[in-house]
Amino acid sequence: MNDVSFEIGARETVAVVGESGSGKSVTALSIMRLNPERSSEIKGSIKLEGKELLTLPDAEMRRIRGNEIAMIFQEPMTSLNPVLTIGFQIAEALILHRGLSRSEAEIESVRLLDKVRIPAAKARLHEYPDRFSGGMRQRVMIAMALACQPKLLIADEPTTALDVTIQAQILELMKELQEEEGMSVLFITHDMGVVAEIADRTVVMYNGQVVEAAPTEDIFHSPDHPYTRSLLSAVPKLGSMKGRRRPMRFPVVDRATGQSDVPAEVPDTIREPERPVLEVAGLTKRFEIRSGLFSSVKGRVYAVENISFSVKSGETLALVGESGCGKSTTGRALMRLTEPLSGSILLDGVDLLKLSQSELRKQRNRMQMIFQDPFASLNPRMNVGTAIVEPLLINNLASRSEARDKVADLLQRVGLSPDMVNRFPHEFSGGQRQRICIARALALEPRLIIADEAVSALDVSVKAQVVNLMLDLQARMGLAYLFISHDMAVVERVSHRVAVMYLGEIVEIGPREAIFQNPQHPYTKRLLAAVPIADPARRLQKRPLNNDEIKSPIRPADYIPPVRQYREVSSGHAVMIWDPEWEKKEAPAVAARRCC
Amino acid sequence: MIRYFITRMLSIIPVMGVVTAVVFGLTYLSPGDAAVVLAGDYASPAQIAAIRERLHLDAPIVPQYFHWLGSALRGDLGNSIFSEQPVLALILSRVEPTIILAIAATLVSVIIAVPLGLLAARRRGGIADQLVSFFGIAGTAIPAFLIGYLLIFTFGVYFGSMPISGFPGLESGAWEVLRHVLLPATMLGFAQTALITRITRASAIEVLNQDFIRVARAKGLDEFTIIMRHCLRLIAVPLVTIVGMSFAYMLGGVVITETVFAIPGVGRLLVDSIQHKDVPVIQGVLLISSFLYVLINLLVDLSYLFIDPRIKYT
Repeated sequence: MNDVSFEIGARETVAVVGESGSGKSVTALSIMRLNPERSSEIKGSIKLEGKELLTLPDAEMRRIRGNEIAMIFQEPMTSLNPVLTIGFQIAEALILHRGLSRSEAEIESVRLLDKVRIPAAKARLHEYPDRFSGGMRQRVMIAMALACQPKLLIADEPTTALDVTIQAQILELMKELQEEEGMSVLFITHDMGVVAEIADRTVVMYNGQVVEAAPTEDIFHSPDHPYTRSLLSAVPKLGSMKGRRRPMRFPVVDRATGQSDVPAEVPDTIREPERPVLEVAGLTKRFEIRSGLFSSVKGRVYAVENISFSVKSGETLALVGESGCGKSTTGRALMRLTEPLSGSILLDGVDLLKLSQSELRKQRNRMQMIFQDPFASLNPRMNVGTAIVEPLLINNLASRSEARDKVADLLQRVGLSPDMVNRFPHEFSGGQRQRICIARALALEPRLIIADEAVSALDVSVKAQVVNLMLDLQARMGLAYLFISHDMAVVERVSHRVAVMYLGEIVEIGPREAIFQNPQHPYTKRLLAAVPIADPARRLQKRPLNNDEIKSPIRPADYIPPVRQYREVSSGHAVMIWDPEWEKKEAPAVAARRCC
Repeated sequence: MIRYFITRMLSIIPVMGVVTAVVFGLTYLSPGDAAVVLAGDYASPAQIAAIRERLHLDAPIVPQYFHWLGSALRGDLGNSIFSEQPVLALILSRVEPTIILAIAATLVSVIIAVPLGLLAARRRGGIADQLVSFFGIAGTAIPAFLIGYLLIFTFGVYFGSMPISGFPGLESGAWEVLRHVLLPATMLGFAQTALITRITRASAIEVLNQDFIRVARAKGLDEFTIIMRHCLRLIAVPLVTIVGMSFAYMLGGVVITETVFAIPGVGRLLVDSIQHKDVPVIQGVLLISSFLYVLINLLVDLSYLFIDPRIKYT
């Protein structure tokens, strides 16, 4: 990080945005002087209301931390001490900085938990963090940060680890609390959508330097720097695909000049008259929860419950939903990486669930998988060439010399140079590794690729490139994709059809345009409403706050799943007929909107 | 939770069943007639016959085992061949120094090891850490008796300030006991200290890298409070495990330390009995120390429930 300067005014929200390695988190930690002592050096000047922080003695600096400047972090799941009650962890700062007694601090902690809208605050004070969900823990973190009414709140990617509906709740909460408390906020994020929702001014960082700093409206409407332009062009915007039937490539922007190409709609790749590549009917997967002396079944996770769909050659079906909805289990069950309980999976008419292990292995060649984490899914001790040819050699599909030619060809297809074969995974960036994983999946010339959150861990510009690559490959090779993702904006860009999953069931399925422009199920609507949109004009809009947590698919042992009925909205667009409880849930949200 | 307690208590029964069977089997490990083995080398035929009758050695082995187990449960572990005293009384007369020594050695090692380990973890990679790590390796590698004789030479002979042998018994007062126990406890605790230091250091490094420690720093807490409040309780689980196991091990008698400092403890009793082929005493010592070992392990397991709220047994 080098020569970074910016200011934050009173009651102002400044977003620092950039991709991984741009130095945004280091900036935040430097303000708090929390970088590792031995390995970092801070030069320059950091002033809080005119007081220089860099030269303060340690004891003085401790009086600033948690008192005048508070911080919340990215990982709510690991940011609370698991062996201390949340009440104690909030009270700690109160006792330390405000000199409250234990009982006074307890009363104040309840007030703070109420403030961050944690239901039954008083009863939950003495609970340990493992009883709280990720979203609730982030609320506790915010309560902790607000304890001493800080002048500045630093939020380092506070919503990145959260599901999109929970992210929307937390962002809304932070906006309201900022108004109530009148504090300044430094908001660090990689997500331009979140920036547009929350920031007055935006600082764009690239490679440890500030490339542009301006009011958020200006950044979005007339970005100056080529990097800002390339960043913004790679951001998928929900609703930008209105009126288009087919997926669309992301525009490619030159980082040096800022010149952009005009993305074209991809050619029509779906082979309509043919039998679908994949036909899934009544797929069900449950996990048993056993406990007690004789390990009896105490409950079941209804991970995937009676779902049916099909994917045609050259078609992309997106499977969307939030954590715990069963989308990844579906992907794994299709490959029989986890054995489904019942249902049928027809791959080109062959039922995979009826095959023996050796026949299954042969069929798996026709269906390959790409995973979320390109770091973990490549063997670090195997060079890239070996990793890519391994599936060919294992299946005796090529001799060594044929395989060598094939690797060169595959690397070229995924946009890498053939002379990279002898390199090892650590020599590549995240995006390049995901390309390698794609090359490996392509080696067996599959008909269908299951991409399980394949672009979720990538930076936005890299994500755009990998999505473009996948679209190109589909056009060239007629691949069918099952695109499993939680990211609605990317899904809108890449898919032909969309299936929305909730608690193990498909609640709505249909053509992409129908789902995005005419959503029917309350859950689909809620999911779409929660997606942050990269348009600063929306920032001043108030949205209703709600506290709903994502429900759990764990049911008691004697649970009998209800028989579901679907209603056809239009051709190919079906929606599950929902329980009346969904209607009840919408009501208080409307009331909240009126009072704002 | 109550149910868990009871289940765990009951789980001692099968474990002790195996232990008693093995200990009982010792009689038959030596070649020849069990009555001859139990009676010792210098017994007359009449004495051998008496033992055979008293212990029902003519009966088949299974009823014999239950007969032996029954008497053991009533506290009758037989008589020593060598001194002809009841085994239980013999062991009880030696228990006091062993227990005091085990407690003292455990205290010495914990008091030294935990702060050292925490210091090394806090200053990871620094000089303090390197010294502590060196001590950790040295402590494990240097034989305990060498440390014992070094202590005797330094404090007993050179400074002449500490007693170097024997054990006065509790009736002579706390000060006397303390003076006599300090050197052997240091020797005995030395290897444990090294082990506990290494475990404390490794666990603390893991905990100090966690996100919630950074959160605690961002709250403005000082490093001492962070370690005492946020770190110590989390490393307590591995610590209690290792301390409990080494304590249980020491209760079984520590032969070398007791020999070096001429302390009449259980360890010495065991060695003497082995030399005299005093089978009933060997059996008694093994039985009681195994039972204590199992019991302390159980207590360690149960203590997790109070240390870490995430651990819930049903």
